[in-house]
Amino acid sequence: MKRVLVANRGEIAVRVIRACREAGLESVAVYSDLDAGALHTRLADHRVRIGPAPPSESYLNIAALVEAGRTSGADAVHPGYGFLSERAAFARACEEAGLVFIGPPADVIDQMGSKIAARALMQRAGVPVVPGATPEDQTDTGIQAAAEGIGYPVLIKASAGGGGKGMRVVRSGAQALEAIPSARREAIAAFGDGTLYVERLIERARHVEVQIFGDAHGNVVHLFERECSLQRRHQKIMEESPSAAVTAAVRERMGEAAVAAATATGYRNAGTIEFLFEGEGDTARFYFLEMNTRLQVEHPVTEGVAGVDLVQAQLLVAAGGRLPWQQRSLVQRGHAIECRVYAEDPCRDFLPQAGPLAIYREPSGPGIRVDSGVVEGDVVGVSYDPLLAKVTVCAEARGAALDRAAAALRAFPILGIHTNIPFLIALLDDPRVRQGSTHTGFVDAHLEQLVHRTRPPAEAIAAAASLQPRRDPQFEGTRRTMGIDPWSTPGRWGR
Amino acid sequence: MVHARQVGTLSMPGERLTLLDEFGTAHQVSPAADGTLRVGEAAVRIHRAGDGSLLIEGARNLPAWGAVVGSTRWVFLDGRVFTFEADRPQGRRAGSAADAGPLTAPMPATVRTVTVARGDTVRRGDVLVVLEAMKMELPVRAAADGVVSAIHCREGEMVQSGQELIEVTASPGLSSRPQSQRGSNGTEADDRSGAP
Repeated sequence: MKRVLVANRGEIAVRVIRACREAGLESVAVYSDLDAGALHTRLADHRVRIGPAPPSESYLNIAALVEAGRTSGADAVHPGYGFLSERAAFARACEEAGLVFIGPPADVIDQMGSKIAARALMQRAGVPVVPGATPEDQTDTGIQAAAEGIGYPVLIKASAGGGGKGMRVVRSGAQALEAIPSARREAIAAFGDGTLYVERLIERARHVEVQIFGDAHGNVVHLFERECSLQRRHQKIMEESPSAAVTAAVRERMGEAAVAAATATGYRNAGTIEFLFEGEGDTARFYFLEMNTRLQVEHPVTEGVAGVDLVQAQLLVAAGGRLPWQQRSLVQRGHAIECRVYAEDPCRDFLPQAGPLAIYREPSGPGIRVDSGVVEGDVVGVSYDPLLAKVTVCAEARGAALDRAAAALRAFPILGIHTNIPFLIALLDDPRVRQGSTHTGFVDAHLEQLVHRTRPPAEAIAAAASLQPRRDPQFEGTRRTMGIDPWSTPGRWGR
Repeated sequence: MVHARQVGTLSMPGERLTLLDEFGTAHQVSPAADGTLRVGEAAVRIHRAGDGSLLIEGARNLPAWGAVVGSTRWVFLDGRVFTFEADRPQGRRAGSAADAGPLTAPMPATVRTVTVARGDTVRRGDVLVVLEAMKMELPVRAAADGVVSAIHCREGEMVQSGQELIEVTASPGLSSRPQSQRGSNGTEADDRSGAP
């Protein structure tokens, strides 16, 4: 392996390109027309245009990416996260073109992509799954009996499909008798199949996931957990390790389950086992949710507490090397928190923001790491993911890490577009977050308390008055066409 | 090390600047002889470094950051972001020729309505085109009194950031009406006269 094509953009492409340079590997950036002057395009040793701005014609275009690999003389492909990272067809196309896919084998991606197949495989491997069944007796009484066997509250859903169709939350036998016929009718209407599935409803659950890593020599390790319960509409906002809810005994059980899950799939490279987590103390329970067959956005959290470099390990293992760690030598030390900085306005229903980064100064200091794919002067568009940067802090303990994260965000000025930084700070300061008593529904349930525009203090008004309006060609801004070649924009360099 | 220097923006004695915050509240700021800026009862002293950073002097000094984009003044203070639009200083002549010219789209958007036709006489602040982007309506207003000399967009059309939408030829003779309170719409053509 000598030259790695990075089939992604933004902060993760930058992260991988830097890792390649460190490892003495050449990197090839791919870019859409919109990203011709983007940071990842400028950093790599080589760059290849793959198409116009729409992702379907560029970063999701398998043929264009494989062709870029061929013309650039790359011998490996790193998919990053998102885009094509969990498409078995992409992994296969790379392999067929003689490119090493830096990730798991294509058939493992396929297997984990099917929720039903994944659940069955995990059950066989002895990994706990959310208790549930498709009763053989599909009469009302048969379904009710199954619900009672699982224990209320339960979720009754259409066996044939998803999307909430035919789904009912049932808390008692009386409710069940009412809900079953209507759920069945809805299932028949939506899917032409009235077969019902009964599953235990897990309320106020946490999202706790375990990082795993395997090599081609039969070694599999876990690198502890990440708690990702702070989400808004299923989009993660903040992740940390260790989880405030996981005790040493539970951690050991989760780690073993995750390694068993990875071993059962014949996993190679970096992956994550997501669990639903309920209860507290040593009696807390966890259930397999799904497996992510790629590097995660929040991987810096694990790197922070375990003192490892997951991307370097990915490159090493993809080249046929052995895992650089053994399970017994891995320790979880201190506390790490990642905050995702998005270009969105919390005060306007988190609308994605487009505009220039007139001021963009990343914080630094002990225990502060910023992963980003933008620089001051860039113009943010709405064509891609609104993630601007990830601020990951490490400290001795959770309280110190929360303080450090808040201080880092208070020293992260971004002007020209609104970001979620004020919202992140409100979350870090929230007493329930400080206590660690959160669940996956927490943010959506308390959104109004966490989001509010404040009236400007006199200091802010005076500061605004002191500014010199200027006709700066760089921020004509609003006048510049998004697709224009930023290489020709004066004043971009040398700041 | 860049030497911080005191503000010199509001150089004319007694000149006042009116800033509108995001709630639509108007704030009057005036420079005092002692070099502070007066905001209501408060006297605030601000030092600027050349890199966009500000130091706000007080019982406890506060670092802040500022930038002007288009007609909007952005301030970052202790993790919070505030935006302001400057109102025109009082006594300024309305609708100078410099205020005219093409009006452009501030971001990629769909043209929802074009409310004027070529040859129409418009007043500064009139809505000429309504754009829709990210589920929001963005009115594009006339930056000066004048006559619509060209229309470069159609209803339903997708326009790119910076694309010219409409042109207004200024007619100073029309500007007999008192200065409107807020002509700003965030488009480029408007901020030429934004400087106090």
